Amino acid sequence: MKRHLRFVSLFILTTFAAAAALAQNDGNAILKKVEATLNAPKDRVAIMSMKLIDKNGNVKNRVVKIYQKGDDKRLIRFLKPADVKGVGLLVLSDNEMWLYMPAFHKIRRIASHTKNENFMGTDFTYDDMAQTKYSEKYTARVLQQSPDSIKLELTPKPGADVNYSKLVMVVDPHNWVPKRVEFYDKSGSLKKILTNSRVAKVDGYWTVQEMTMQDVQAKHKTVLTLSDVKHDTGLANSVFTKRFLRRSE
Amino acid sequence: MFRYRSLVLGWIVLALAFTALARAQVSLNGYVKTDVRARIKGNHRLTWNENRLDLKLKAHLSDRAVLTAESWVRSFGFPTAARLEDLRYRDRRAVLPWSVDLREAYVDFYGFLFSNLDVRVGKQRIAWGTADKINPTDNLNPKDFEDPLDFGRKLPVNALRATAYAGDWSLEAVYVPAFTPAVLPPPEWRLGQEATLPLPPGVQVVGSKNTLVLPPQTVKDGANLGFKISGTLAGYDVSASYVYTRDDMPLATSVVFEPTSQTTGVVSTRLSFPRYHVFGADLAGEFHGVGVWAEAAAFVPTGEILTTIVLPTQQGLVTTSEVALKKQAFVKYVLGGDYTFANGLYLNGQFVHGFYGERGRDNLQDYLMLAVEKRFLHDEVKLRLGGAAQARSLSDATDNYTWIAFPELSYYPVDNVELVLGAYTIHARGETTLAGFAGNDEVYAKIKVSF
Repeated sequence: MKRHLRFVSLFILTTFAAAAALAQNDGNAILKKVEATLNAPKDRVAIMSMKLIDKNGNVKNRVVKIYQKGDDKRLIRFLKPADVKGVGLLVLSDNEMWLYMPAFHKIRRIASHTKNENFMGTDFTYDDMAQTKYSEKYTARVLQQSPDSIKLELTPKPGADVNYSKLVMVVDPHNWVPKRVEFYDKSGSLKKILTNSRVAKVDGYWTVQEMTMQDVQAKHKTVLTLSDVKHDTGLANSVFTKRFLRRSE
Repeated sequence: MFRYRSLVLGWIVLALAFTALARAQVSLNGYVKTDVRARIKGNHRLTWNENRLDLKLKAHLSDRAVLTAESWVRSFGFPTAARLEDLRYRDRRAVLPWSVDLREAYVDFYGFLFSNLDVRVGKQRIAWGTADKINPTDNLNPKDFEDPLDFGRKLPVNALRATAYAGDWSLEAVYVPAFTPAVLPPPEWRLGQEATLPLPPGVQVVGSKNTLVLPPQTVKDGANLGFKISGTLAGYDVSASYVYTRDDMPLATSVVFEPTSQTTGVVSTRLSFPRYHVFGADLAGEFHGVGVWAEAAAFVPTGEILTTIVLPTQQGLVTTSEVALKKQAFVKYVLGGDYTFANGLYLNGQFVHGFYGERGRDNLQDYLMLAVEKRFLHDEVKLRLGGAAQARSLSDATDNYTWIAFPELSYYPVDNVELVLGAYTIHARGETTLAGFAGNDEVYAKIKVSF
């Protein structure tokens, strides 16, 4: 009987371990699909409107023009409001970011200590703005699966330089676009929720046209709306340079 | 007839300019700023009264040419009316002083002749260096000390600037055809100690006059030239530069006591602007998560500058000479770093060797600058506490020092509006470069509305 019990326990453990490994493998594979979907266009140019809404409902507006190429290069330039017009952010990787401040006539490299700061008052950090490949820093496992959604838990890989203890991502399996991402701070408390609302195909690519980042601790949120989206315009690498960052548009 | 032709020509130029602008994609931005300051001590005298309209025009003449112009229209200062007639005069400047200042006006040509060459022509600011506000390698624009709170401000100059790009690297060449001296600080914000003349007992100075000897505006004497190579090396942004320039702050070449009686006289000073070769280098990056920067410049005077001194002695007027500037290189440098803690507290510190106006290896002093900053309510409120300290040397730091503290509170209630309330308090003892600031403690209030 005792031997029989030992066998059953071993069987259960092995089954759970295998299931966990499978879930993890599936999770990583799903995460790769998500990234492949989000980063599918060769390049993207769009106007992004940002509404910064505080807990009293007061609204501040920002408008940026965003250039993206592949899954690493981004250039963001502020068009509004007037007091930050011309400010630009160049991202070549999560370790290579530069900020151009026209008032000072200078481009400044952003050190990693700044990456967890809110980007120009929004609820997105510099790191969030640079993040295009979660799989480089996180390991994903499936928490729940249904025909309409897959819930993943993303935990940081050993040694990964991230500001969150985990992310919980709900993916739409029909288009492989995240519907919602929860960001948990280092103490394990829910910090922010990203909700992707309007998702549509633009130039044949699934594109999130409206997303809301809500800081549940600060009771503040930022709503991003994309317009004038263009894909595969043949953006040159020269756009993603300090030369172009400094250039007037 | 000539006047008539000029008028017609002027109108044609204006019409052409407006036609070009009408076709171009034009944007007009700027801000309105009000800045009022008052002394903390004494009778709380107002020291600053400025209303500034900043207008920045950008016209995209084509994909490869952009015109930028920025001007300040200012109502600045206090009434200077001294006679009844000043109040009646049609030009009301004695009552309401105002000015217009063309800050920048230049055209950018992108891909000029070659795809990897950009050219900027016109009145412009050429900001070199990685340090905060104090940049030893930034020597192509003269200093503008008008505002003691804005001590990094420089005067834009007419220049031709060409930048060639190759991958991560760029080579910049700048030619500034004319010499422009610095705008010096008001007397109560003077840098350094006032020189005292060794006069015999009973002899008094009853007046002073000075003559500035500006260099001839020729290629040899008036022009400045600069080259800079910039790029990325081992994760750091680096640059090396060379500038052939002229000191924008004057140096006395003669001090002559001119007797007006047996016991009195007037001191007559002649001042000129020494030439330098300046070799600079800077870097910026991060070290173990801390943002770091370093910037240094070696100033090599092209010649020794002697000051001729004529002073009365018991034997009558005697002429001597002193070396005002040796033909010997001296190095100014800044080392700095910044860090943002997990709670959002931002810390910035700089060590500065050699301040504005300090020349010669033996005259460079050391300064420590620190700032702590914290933002609240999603960047709606910013609290900054800055400080600067100077000691002539560590050994006599208790006898010769200056320290300045400047707390500042900024509030951004709605988009494009900034309200600032701040103060600075200055403590000095003995002889230091900043000792002249002592007693100038002030509070200030500013409002800036951008559009």
